[in-house]
Amino acid sequence: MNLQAHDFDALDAYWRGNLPDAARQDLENRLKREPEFKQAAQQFQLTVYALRAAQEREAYDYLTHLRQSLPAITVGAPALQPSFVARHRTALMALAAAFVGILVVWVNYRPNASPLDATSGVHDYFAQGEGLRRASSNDLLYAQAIQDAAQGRYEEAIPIFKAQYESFQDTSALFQLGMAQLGAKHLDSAIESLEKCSKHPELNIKASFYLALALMEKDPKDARARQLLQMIANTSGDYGGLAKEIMVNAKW
Amino acid sequence: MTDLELFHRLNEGDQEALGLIYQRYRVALINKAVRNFSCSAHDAEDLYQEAIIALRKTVLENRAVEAPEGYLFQTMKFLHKDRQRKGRNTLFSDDLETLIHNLPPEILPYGGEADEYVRRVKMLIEKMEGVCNAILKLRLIFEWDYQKISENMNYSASEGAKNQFWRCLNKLKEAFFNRP
Repeated sequence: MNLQAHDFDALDAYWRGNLPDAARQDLENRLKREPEFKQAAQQFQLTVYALRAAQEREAYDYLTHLRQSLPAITVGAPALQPSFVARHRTALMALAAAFVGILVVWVNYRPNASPLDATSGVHDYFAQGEGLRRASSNDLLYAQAIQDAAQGRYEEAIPIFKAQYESFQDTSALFQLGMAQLGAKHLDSAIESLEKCSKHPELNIKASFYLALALMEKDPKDARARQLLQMIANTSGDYGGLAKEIMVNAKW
Repeated sequence: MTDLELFHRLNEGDQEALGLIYQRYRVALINKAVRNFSCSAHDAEDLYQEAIIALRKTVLENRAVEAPEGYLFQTMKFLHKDRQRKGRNTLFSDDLETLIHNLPPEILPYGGEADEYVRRVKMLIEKMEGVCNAILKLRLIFEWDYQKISENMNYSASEGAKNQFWRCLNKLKEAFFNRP
């Protein structure tokens, strides 16, 4: 198989998830179409990954050696005072019982939150782990950011998505950024990010849907949101159904 | 020396820079991990060492790390949770292990063992002539572009560096797949 240097560069970018969408699509088609090309690519990938693992292991061994030469770390004793717990046990138990009581009442009598507003939409999106599917196993910080967002820590996730987007112009990261900004109620920034994503063919419907939610969060009767939802309602996927439901609830 | 200067040295292939980064945040982050994760200092240092390896990888891939201390702690937190969930011990070679798992068995030479591949490629790269050894590491490990390689290795143009890199990579791949 006559694989060339420029093919390898494209493959290397592809393995790292850094190939622009159009080029990625072309490469994936070629890998499907040409079994010999695919086999040669796999052989190069194995060779390169083994080399990178060897270098990583060398760095790890270097650190192990360094670690052994450094003085052991003395960790300060935790400032926990068991006597405090012992002294206030009854009060603490009463507090815990009251908390459980309030929780039970709240769970049973809280007003039904609409599943179709920005807050619950963002929560559901991250909780379903949708974003994680695009984070490679070695992209630890990105995966951590998704986890942070899934647990509602949007402020911690925002700078990581932002750095990922700014470093690679990665539209998926921009979408995650927009969602985290929406979750954190930075509505203007969220609208700006989602607006950009909505122009991307692969993200058009999804980004437009959340853009509409962000616009409605600012103004429940926003005309642009209505226009977007009408457009999405005419599509056949999940978002089409959700858009219809929102429009019915909003009496549009 | 600032973190950025250390990252720059790391990108230039200076292993000592990695040691300096390691020592810079070691005490603070291990203490923080012991407090936050309720683990021993030894386990915290294992997490820290692996987080430094993850940082090295990020820096070598020319990705921005604006706040290294925060990055390292977040990575330690992730690894700690990952360890609790999967019970695995180490991070390095993870990409290789995953790749081996995903490749069809007929592609995999001599047994499909990651350790064997690492040992073999290390031996092969050490045996390669100086130019190949250098150019493969600069391109594949330190992620230099062909322009930078050509300037540092005295090629007249980046195309020359690219051709040389390609010849060396083919040579390494052929040797790697030839049964010893």
